[in-house]
Amino acid sequence: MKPLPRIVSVLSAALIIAAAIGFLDAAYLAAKYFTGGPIACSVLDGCDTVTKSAYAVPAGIPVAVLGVMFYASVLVLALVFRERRSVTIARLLAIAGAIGFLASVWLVSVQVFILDALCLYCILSAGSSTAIFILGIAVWRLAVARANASDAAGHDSTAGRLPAVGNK
Amino acid sequence: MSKSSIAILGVVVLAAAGLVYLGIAADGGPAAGGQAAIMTAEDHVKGNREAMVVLVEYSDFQCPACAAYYPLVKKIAEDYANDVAIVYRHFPLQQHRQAVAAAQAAEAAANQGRFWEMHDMLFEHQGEWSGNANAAELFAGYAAAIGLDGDQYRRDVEASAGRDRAQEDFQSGRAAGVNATPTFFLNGQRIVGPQSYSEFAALLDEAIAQNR
Repeated sequence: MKPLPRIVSVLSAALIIAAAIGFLDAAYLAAKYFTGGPIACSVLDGCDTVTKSAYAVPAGIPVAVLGVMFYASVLVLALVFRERRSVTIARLLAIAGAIGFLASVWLVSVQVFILDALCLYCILSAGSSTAIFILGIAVWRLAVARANASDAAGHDSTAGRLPAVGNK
Repeated sequence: MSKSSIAILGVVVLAAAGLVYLGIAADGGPAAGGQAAIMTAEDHVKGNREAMVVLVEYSDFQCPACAAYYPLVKKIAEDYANDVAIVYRHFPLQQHRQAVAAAQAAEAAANQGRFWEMHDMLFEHQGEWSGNANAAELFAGYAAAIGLDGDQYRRDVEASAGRDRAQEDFQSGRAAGVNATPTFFLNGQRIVGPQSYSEFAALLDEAIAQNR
């Protein structure tokens, strides 16, 4: 059995980092949301008009809370993938990444075209979602390619699962 | 999950808890504004200049939050015309690329004694000019609408005096600890959280009662 390409380890570490950054960012925004304060534009955060606009609370759930849940899920998936290298988990990461990316595109558009105000932490979140999207797709493609290669080689005893490196 | 994964998860969750705590603590309470308390002869003042109660606002014409506060402050200026002096100071934030140009337009109007008219125009039409490449033309249109002499306006708006003035106000705001707009100081004391007219009015009533 060939060792798993090192690239997959690097990508999954990058996924964990991107998810952790997004999680911290969303947690901060959620805390800000619930502690309130008057609306303001600030030197560091951009404008509260973004996080306090109607667009920030679709269907009564603050976007920041959705962000916390999203990044927490991606973080757990990425950690599980790091251990198990499962194609199913990789596919879930790719799907989650696509959803997060689309949500970010929408949210950034709202800031630019509707609210005409940017929020630094929201942009940071869009950045980490985009990174998760790209990394998720890459990890999924690599995992599938790897699984197919081992199928073709007749090593399908671990069907749908990649061998983990470092388990000596 | 392996021990290392659980450890990573633990570190991230702890870091989030720390960040949340910092985010809340950093909001701070009322703070003294120092210099911000003092009204100067150059300040743009609305209401009664001799009033015992001075409300200083650090604001940015391109800031949506300031535009949201604009009607509220305007109503206060009307209702407390005799008891309060309202001071407007520029605090153009870096992310608002046209904030300095808007401040310059207001300063050019001030040269013809129409600062507050331009101030109102800028906030009322913020959605029109903010992010618009033709903002300078729109400002000139507002200048005409409030009855400014066009030639003088054009000369003044391009002069460096308005930009310098905005910069001076910004520096005095930084010295007073301003880091967001709008920031209000009531007799030198930073006030946090008036989210409605009634909250604002209650603070003013209290200050007026204390200074009688």
